[in-house]
Amino acid sequence: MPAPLRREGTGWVFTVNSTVLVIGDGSPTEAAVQALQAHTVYWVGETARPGALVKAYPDSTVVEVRGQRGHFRVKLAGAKGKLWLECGNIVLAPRLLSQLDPSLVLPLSCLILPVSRAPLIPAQERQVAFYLGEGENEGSFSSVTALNAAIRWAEHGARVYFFFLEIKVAALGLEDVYGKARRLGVRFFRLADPSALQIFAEGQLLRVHYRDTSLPGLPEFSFAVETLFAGEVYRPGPDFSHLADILRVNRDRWGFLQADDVRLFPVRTNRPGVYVLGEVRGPGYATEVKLEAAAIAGETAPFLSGEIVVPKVLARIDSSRCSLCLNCYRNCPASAVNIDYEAETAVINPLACQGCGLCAADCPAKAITLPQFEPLSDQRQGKTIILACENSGHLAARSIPLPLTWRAKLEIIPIPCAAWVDEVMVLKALSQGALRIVVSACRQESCRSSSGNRRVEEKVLAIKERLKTIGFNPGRIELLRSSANAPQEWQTRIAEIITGDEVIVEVGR
Amino acid sequence: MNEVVVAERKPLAEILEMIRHYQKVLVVGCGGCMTVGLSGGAREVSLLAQEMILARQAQGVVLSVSESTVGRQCEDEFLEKLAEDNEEVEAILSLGCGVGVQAIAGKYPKLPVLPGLNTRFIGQPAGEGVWRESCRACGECILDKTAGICPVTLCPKGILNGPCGGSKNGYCEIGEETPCIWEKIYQRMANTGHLSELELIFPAQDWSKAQGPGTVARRKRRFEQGK
Repeated sequence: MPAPLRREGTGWVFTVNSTVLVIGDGSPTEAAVQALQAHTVYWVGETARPGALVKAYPDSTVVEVRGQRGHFRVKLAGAKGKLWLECGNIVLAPRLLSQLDPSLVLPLSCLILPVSRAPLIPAQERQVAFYLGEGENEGSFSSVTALNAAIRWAEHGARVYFFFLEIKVAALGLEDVYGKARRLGVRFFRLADPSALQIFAEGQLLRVHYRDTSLPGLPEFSFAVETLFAGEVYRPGPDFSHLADILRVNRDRWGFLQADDVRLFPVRTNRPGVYVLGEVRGPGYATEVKLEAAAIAGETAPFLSGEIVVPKVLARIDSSRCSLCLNCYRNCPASAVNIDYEAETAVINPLACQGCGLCAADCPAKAITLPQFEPLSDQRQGKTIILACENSGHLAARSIPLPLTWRAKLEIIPIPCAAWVDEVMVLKALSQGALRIVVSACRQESCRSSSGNRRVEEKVLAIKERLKTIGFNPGRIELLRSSANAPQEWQTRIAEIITGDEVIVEVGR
Repeated sequence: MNEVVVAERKPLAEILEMIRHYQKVLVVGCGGCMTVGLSGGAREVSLLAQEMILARQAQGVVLSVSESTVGRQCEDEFLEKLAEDNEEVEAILSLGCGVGVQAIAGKYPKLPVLPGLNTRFIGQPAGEGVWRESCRACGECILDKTAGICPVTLCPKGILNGPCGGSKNGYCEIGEETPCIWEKIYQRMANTGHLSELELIFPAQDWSKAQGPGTVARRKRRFEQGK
């Protein structure tokens, strides 16, 4: 591991860099720079401005990131050439790109504006329309802005028509906003069939024509409006995937820079020391940037002292065995591994290592150990061994008493993460007499080490195939997903697996 | 670090057949290419050991397996430690490449030495868990003249003045998984401003150098005993 400063009673003390790098523009970035005012901040963004402790790099972009939390080295490229910066933490807050909702069918007309422009247009006594499309199903991109604008126009005596498919009012206060718009006389049309809405240019105006197929009599509506505000959707900017690749940060299914994992909320990523703020997490998060910025400042505050204590070294590489195969370096979900080419070994940085054990399970030279978790040993005749993740199954197992009859049948062993399970340990346990191995992992989108509970699924399937080839019952390895706060459910699932065990225990097959 | 000799584990059934007469077997891994290539390192040794033990258990028979991984199987000195603690071993199962199997067999000629792997080719990683052949060890490297892309290995016909008439839309006539390598060579030459090199005509390849078994001798550094 990188050399610690000293050892204290509480653990290993490392010197760290207290500077924070902030990447982005707009209100999330401003909130971050504001919240981090106790730190030296390097701000990379088009609108970056220098401040008391803020150094601005408006003409540069990030091209490479090395190192870990406490010691990032970031390469910038810009008009003035290349530059390396050092920082302890990184905050990502780039803006989303907005575009008109692609589900809307609109003519080309200068009378059509995006909803985001509505607050800038002075309200007058006119006829205006709002049109929100299917994009609102992904998230309330435009409804809040559109409703507030509709209210403003209605208050100024305008006649407002509001066409939509869905308005989700789950955000705080939104139900009241909708109610107010209704009371002010905004006319809402919920579109049963969006294709029945037609908009076309008519002289100096726009004609909006709608035939409602859900009401009796199939009534038709026709309005001439001076302005139409069209709904928008927010998409990750093209720089998002670039940033994600450089920073090795996982994205969610739409490309936003925070994976769908409840353990990351609100501001973390799979990579310790790299934070996300605001829209970059997803469009629904644009409204809480101040809170999120405060959360980030809370996490970076300990770095101001210049020292961080790591209580325990969670994973260690034996350099004499390391073959530099680069597996751990490539696969670590926290990017906690560095390669020391001179010493010809991989090295784990304890400031970023989360102790999931994925590296140890995959290391072809068996060079990596987790000191707190010993490999399985001992005879385990006839028992079902439950390898229970300490973030879910093991907590569930401990929180209510187990049935007495289970004590003789089961052995429950804590594991750091399902990622730590490897084929050799499972087969060895079986060859030493275990009846069955159950891997109790966290649920999808709930893994503390990001990828552990997905990889374990591949491993369990591979072990089942091997057992079949050997002539063993593939049911002797099972995967169970659970959460820490559902102990009764956990017991029920275990009971289902071990019921009928007596029948299987014949001839060791 | 060596280039990677890429090998694949033989199917378990074939290995079990090889060791059917033995009750005590030593499995030997290799810390070089086989570790990096995830085919015969310490982990794969342990895995195979457990598979064999379990398979025999399923037949109601006990198999004793010991495990060892050496730095490289192709060096005599590294193989010396196999003799320790393994006096009663009846057979050695090597998870090295063909070189390693033969080296162990040469060092311990009285023991059956069995190959646990099929050696495939010299290659390079092309993604997680994927290796692709890139060098055929033909003995007459022309990579300086082909923009660093080897047509001897990567062209299914091994032609030197390609492409042939079967090149279509950038792919070989064999199928759409195989890019036409001469088109790639052309593209790289064009992108780097060296297109004129394409006009070089290669004479027929001298395959005698690729014909085995080959020997390379560096006269000034022999390590024979007593010299």
